[in-house]
Amino acid sequence: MSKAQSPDNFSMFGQADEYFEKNVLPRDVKGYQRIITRTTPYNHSHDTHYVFVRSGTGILTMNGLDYRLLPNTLTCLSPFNRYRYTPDPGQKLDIVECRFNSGAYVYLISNPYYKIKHFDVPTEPPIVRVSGFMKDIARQAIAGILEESAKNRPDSTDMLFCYITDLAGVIYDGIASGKTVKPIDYSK
Amino acid sequence: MCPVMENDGLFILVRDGVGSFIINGEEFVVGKGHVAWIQASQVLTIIPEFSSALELWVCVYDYQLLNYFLFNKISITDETGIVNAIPVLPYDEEDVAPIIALFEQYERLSRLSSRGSAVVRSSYLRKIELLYNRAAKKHSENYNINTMPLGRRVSLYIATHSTQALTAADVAEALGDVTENDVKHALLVATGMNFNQYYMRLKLVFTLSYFLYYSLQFDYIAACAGFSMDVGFYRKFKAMTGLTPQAYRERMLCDGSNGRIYRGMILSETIISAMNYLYENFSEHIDVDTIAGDLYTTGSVLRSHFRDYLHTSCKQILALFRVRYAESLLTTTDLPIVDISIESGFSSDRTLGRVFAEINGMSPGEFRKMRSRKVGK
Repeated sequence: MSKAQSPDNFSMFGQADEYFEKNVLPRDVKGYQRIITRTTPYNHSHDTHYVFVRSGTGILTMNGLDYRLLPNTLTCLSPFNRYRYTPDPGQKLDIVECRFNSGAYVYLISNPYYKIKHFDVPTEPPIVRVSGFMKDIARQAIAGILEESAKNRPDSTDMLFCYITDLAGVIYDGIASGKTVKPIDYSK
Repeated sequence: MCPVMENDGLFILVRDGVGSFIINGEEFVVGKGHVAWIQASQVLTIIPEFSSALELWVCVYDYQLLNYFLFNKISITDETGIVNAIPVLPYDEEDVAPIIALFEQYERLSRLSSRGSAVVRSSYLRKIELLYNRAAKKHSENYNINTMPLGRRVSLYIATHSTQALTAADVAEALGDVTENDVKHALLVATGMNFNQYYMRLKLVFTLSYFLYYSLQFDYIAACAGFSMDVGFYRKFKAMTGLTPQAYRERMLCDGSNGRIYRGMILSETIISAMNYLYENFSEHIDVDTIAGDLYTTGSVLRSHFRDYLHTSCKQILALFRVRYAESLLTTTDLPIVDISIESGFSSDRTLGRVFAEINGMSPGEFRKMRSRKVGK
């Protein structure tokens, strides 16, 4: 907390805002739906994205690897990924992308319940196929992201950050319970 | 039930039964579907109706977590509105049904022991708070500080001014039409504590909310809460909790062993800022000492923060970011390796080759060849 504060001005709640002065707080979290009917060009962004497949099937090609996309597939794409979507013939891929800047991502993983054993960026990004209760949570989070992005209430960023925290927890849980999606092995 | 005052906030859902909650001297009749947010400034007494039982679900919402999620600056007016808001929401299908749904899912999540579920639960608490605040705002016209009994008004005034030097006379003057003795008496009746006990307790609860911020010193936290002498803070803290601040913090942390829920420190601003900088500028020339200078710290402090909290170094993270980005260019473009090395922030293709091999155990060319065979045509 580098800002000199007088106790008279101090907030009743401590507030992270008093503690973090730099541009590291989640200011801009946005979610949007995409319906993909044909192969997209390669995409790259400096933001982090959560991508959730609501319906349809296809392929996600990322950094030279193909991953099967089925409904309820959730992934986190970082600024180090270039990727494209290819729907299966006759299919529409209905996906929701939620994007936020890197500061928000780092703030997200600094949640006191998120354990960082050793910070790493694996060559294969985390892709999980969610099911059961975690699927319900992911779907509700996605619906919430779309609703809050559209309504733009005064506390929408706060609510959106909660939803991306849900998705982070779902991925965290999916990895721990072995629900990760492996790249397609064409040699078989 | 005996009156209770916790150091954390409590969300309470009345699952069944009828009764009342006495909150800082004010009575609220509760029944099935009522939701309450008992903040740390509130003394709660639960009274079931005669020959009835109250079935309650309680979620503990600690102030460390609340502060972590409270990253958007809110005005003192809004904040005072939250503290002074109605502590029990009347049942209203539209407002309360989504909160009840979150409670029910929270209860299911509590039965899972995975770390992911703990992360999700943390956000559920914040969502309950946000929905609660939205619903409480609708009642702010009919329920505000002017409509409350004096004991509750006094307690809430102290709660919103606990970091300031405050006396009962100051509170009496601020509220108007009451004497210092009225203030002291009303507070004692409402909370069971005298002015100094209540005021000191809130100051100490305030300090607790900062305990999980890595790199904040206790004497600084004490100064923020308005303690003029460190020693006074340490003495009062031990008197209230029976522990030193250090020991209390140790108890708040958990390494996640033996099936317990992991809880760690919130990363320091320095690490978050430095990481953010690395993410956004990895393809540029980056000097660790320059980042440290921009963050008003030194290279050695920055290095130790990375080692302690991310268990790696700034240099290794930067190398990792660049190599991963180089991988994406190798596999999705036809750019020559020398161009990719510059594009991903390396000074030459030789440096890229060396660092790439250290991380992936193969050359960039071999990697490109290997991955090109793995994509469907």
